[in-house]
Amino acid sequence: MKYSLFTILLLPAYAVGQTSLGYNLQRYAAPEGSMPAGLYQSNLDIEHTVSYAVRSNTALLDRILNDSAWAAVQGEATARNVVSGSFDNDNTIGQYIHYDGRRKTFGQLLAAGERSIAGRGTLYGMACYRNGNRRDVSLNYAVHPEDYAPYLVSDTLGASTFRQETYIVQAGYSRGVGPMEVGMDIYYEGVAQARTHDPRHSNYSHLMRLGLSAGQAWAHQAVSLRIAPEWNRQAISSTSMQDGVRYFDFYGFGLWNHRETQTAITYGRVQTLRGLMADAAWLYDGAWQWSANVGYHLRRMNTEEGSSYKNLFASTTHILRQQLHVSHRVDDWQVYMQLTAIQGWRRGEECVYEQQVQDAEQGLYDYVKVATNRLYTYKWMNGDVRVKVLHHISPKASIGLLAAVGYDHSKEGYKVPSMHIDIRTLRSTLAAEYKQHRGAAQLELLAYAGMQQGWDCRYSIVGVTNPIQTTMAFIPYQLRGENHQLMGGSIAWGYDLMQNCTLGLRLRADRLHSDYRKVNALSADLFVLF
Amino acid sequence: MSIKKYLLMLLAMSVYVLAQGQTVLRGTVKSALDGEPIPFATIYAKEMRKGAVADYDGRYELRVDDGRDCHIRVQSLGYQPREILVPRDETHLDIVLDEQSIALSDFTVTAKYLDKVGSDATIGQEALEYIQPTSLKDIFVLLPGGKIGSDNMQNSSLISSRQVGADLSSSFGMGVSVNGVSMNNDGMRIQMQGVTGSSSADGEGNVRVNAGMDLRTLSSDHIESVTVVRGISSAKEGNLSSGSIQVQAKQGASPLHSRVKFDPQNKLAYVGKGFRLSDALGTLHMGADIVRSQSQIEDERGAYNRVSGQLNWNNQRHWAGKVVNMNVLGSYVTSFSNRKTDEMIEAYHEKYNSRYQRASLSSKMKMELGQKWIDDVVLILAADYSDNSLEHHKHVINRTVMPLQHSTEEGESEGIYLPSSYDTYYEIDNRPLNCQAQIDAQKYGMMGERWNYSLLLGSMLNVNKNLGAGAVFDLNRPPFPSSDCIRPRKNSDIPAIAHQAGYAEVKLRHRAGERETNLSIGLRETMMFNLPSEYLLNGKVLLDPRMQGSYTLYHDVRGKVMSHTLRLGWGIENKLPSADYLYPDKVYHDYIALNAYFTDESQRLLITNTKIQNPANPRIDANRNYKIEGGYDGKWNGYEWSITAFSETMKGGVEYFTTYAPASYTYYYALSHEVTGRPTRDDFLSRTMETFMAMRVPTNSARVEKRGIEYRLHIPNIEPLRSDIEVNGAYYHTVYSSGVPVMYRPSIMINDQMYPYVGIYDGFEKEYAENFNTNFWINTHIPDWKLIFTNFIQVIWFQRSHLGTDVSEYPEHYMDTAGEIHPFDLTDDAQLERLRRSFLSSRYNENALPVSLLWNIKATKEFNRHAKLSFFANNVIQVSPKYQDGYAHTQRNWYKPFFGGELTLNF
Repeated sequence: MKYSLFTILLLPAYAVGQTSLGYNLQRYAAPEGSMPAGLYQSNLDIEHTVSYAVRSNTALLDRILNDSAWAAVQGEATARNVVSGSFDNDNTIGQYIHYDGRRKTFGQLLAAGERSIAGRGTLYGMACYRNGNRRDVSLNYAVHPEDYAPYLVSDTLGASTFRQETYIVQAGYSRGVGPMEVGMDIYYEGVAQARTHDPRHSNYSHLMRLGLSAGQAWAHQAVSLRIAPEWNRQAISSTSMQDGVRYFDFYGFGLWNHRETQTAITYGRVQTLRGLMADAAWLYDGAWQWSANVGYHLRRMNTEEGSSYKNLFASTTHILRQQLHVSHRVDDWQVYMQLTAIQGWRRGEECVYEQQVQDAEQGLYDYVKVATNRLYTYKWMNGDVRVKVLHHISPKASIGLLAAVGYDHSKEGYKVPSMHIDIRTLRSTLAAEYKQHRGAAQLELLAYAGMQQGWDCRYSIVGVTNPIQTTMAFIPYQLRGENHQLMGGSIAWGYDLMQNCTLGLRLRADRLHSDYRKVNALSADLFVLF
Repeated sequence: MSIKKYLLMLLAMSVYVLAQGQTVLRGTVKSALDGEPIPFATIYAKEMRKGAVADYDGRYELRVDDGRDCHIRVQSLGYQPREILVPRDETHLDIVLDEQSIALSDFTVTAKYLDKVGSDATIGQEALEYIQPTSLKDIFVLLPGGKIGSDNMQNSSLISSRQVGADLSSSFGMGVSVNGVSMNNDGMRIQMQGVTGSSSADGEGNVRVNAGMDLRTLSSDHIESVTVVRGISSAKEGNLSSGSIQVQAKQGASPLHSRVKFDPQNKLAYVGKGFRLSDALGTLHMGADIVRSQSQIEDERGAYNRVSGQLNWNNQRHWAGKVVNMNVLGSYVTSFSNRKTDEMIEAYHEKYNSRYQRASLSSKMKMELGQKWIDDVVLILAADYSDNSLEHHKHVINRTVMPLQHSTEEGESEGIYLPSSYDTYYEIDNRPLNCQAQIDAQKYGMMGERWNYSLLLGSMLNVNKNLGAGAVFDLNRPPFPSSDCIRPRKNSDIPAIAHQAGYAEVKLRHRAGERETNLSIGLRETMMFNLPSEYLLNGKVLLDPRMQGSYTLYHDVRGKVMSHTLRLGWGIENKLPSADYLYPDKVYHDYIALNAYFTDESQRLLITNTKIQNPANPRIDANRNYKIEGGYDGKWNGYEWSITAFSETMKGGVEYFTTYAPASYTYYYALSHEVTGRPTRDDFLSRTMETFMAMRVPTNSARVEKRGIEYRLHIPNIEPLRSDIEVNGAYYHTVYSSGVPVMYRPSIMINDQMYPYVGIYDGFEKEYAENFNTNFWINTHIPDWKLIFTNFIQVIWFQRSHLGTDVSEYPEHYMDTAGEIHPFDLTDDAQLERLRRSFLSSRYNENALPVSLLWNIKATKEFNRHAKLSFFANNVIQVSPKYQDGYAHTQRNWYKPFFGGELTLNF
């Protein structure tokens, strides 16, 4: 979704180019949101897109990693294992999306590796622990709120700090069975979120995705199909020791309806997400390398109130993804081209309840659902084209240039009262990189600049004076359709301590500037590849 | 069977001893990794029920029976246990043990059931490490009937044993021992909210009495193995009513082992190593851990922080030609970050400090005499001292005018009015010192050609004295203003609680071809002393007979031996009351006789009439639990199956029980004439108020009846799945009720007087509860990848509870204000109708939870000999349908998602 565009640009943590160090860090990077990392991203290292496609379709992994016929696709995975410690700090001056927070400060430990045993297959795994704070988050208690919007819940206080602890485990297994390749992968993310001052809030969330894939690989061609059910559950609770605190259920948008809860002391909600992903991939490795990926993603969201256990809101989301990647090598030059398109739409439901008598004699009542309103819709589409040229100056050094353009359009609507938010933007990016490996030392440099231009953006709500409406809808509308400029870069050093063991450090800085905000992001990674 | 006949039988068995021919088996226990000897490894001969300990150089000697094969079990910390069949007449056997590793095909992560006569479960080190416990309570999930519960150790909740839910008496009755030394907190007293026994005032449960040992204070990292006995305990185990948890501390030489466990609520780090000192000095195992635990991640005030350390020294010497095994175990536990705070505390400038420390030292000496009448003598001396202190600088807000009176004599006296708000302070100081001495004599041998026996005679003495100051607060500024209060006395003024016990136990084994019979017959006597002479328990001998037997049939099936065992057990267990129950403080009821509150402070007059009650109950008795258990076990080729049926009846659990006594006082209700200046009592009209005083008296009133069936099936490795499967579960039916008549008085006024009667009901509503659950453990073990993962699926087929309607709405008797008790008859007074307790019929509706399921996953990956990484995720899938409770409200049982990891490093 468009919401996290800036984050996506910053992510390729993760913004590295054609480098052994960068790719070895990137291939196991833990995603920020609830969507899988790797494919369908606006990544700068598009020369590794095919490798990401293989890793997203686990069935092909064992064959392609170990078959010399696919050497060109194996990427520069010179190391099978990585252990890293990271520190990230993102700070915003000015406006910001209310549920993201003004400032994010996180530390992370990550360990990942893979192992192949001849005749037995390939096993890979990644474990990541992340701990940090999001400051000045407001009007939201959910983890990954973009999946639950607009049906958020919060209290009436202002912005506050949330502490978050995240545990991520990812593992997969791939092997050949006769002429076929089969694979299984599992992804688990657990997030514990807390606010330690009144009203005290906690949210325990887990997201689980189980992938089953099958494919077939020939000398220069491979196909794969993967199905992955997923589910997410968040147990939200909040307790107030003081008078005067109230809780809001947010629903619809437009007037940013919010309903005050009946109880003022405690509040609880369980919200769930159930989904199914289906992906297909085709790879061809010849004079030209081709990779085509299509995917469909269905998600059904539900929220249940914590004391009465009534379903309050629901939504259904459909997402289609396509990516076409082609590359060609001529002497010391390599050219890559990538087209990516994403379309999605969401419909929201609001359940209506009525108190009805259950036992008149004993005076027992309960709430019974009497109707469902389907008033909210959200549609979006993203298109992206990028081209990259790599030139190997020598066997130990290379330079690269990338150019990209993209188009985004999103539209939210509410039937009664009739309201719309319509945003269109154009993006462009230029990036340059340099890589060298001399003796035991490696160096990688990356710089990029980009811009976004919004046009024909519409916000059809008049007379906005309510601060909740301003925070929840008007400011995000402004920021998503803003004109902004991006720039950033990273520098990474690596030193080979011994054969197959490299110690490294990567520093990254990014900046976004617009009329509404300035965002500075800094990141440092210390890692060992072995 | 009368006690006399029982004793004669024991004596006859103990006299009939014959030393048959025995062979000495010798050898050395070594490590497979480097061939180094393993000091102080234990070797246990199963048929003979006899063990030996290797010396510093791994050398051992064990006497086995002539002319027959023998099974021995060899184990040591950090090594995979082995069971070996020793051929008959073998005299030398060197044993090699592998280091524990997931790469071993027989690495197991479930409980083991080694006892032939009972349902005892032993959780070994590899299973303990795999389940990653933060507290000992976590191990109960491995046992039949165990259910996933609270995920943190901050919640010092009750121990539940073979029942639906939990209750105070059952939890209090669970015995805990470490290396044979019993651990308890029976010397603790609480005097919160102005009365003894009220335990909930501090909110976080940092002060805890009458609920059993606080398992949070026992670090699971210092434990080598745990045996849980929920059925009939050995006669050696005493002062318990719900079974026992027997902990074996880590000992011996071992590699440096460190563990870091982290999940959102618990952060734990441990490091430990066993050192080989020298041949003369033996081995020393040292370990330390630090834990931070929060039941709620958003509540910083409620965090529980603990540091613990343990030293375990072992040595073996030869004195006068006899082998002497010595062990000294010392441990220390302390809380830290004791000052708790949150914005509410800070808003009122309060301070809250909860501190806990415990130091314990035990020494154990086992001499192998090898004499005609005695083989081994074991002497144990132990002491542990706890310092448990709660300090609270509190801000009190009185929403109404509150009187203050702290007279210690009955009758009228003048009091003062408390301010509407004030700052005060209180401290609850407990410092129990517990000392234990124990001596056991053991004899092993054979009777005739086919009977093996082991005989145990022993005696122990336990003294527990609280040296603390008890409740300390400013009597002029009470922290919990109330008309009922105590004038607290120091814990150090309470006499020490002491008891002695003697026990005898005979174990017999008979093997004839394919049939084997095992018997265990024991008797334990317990007696408390140092109590006031009028106390029932002073000098009273409590007898606990305990018997278990089994019959096993072996036969061959497809070349492997299959065994079928039928077992039956019966026993009585007694749990002695704690110091808190034995010595409650007197209660002072301060009735407001005259309340002349004026704006002008100089004119105010407050007169209270104090009545003093002593809630001490000299008739208090031990909690006696009658147990019977029967079962069937089968084993074949790695398959194990068992079913156990049990019945327990506990009639006299001690609890604070509300009683009433009549009281009357003069009440000055209105001025008889106008008064200028400060009035006196003579200026008022008066009448006699007749009322009742409520008092909570420790009484043997809790009654719990437990019935149930536990089942278990273990399927060994299924090669295509690379998995072994354990299925266990239980059906429990529990009835909670009161064993004594219940008193109740409606809180209403009639004609300006309190209601003049107290109803005496024959029992309260009983609560009936039952549940049926099945747990599936699917342990997938892939040695090639050094990976083991477990899918745990818990299915609760049903869980139901309801209040019994088999009690009368009307009382059987009633008491009037003169204290006279009458049979209930409505014709005596129409007001008696108010004693009828009627509720909405929906109160008695059954609460039935529909079938529910939850799925947990756990994975461990070993990277090399040194490092292991584990991850767990609980409630990954939870199916918990909505249902309607008895009040037609929609309900659902959700468990929060929970997850975490652990890193283990060995060097």
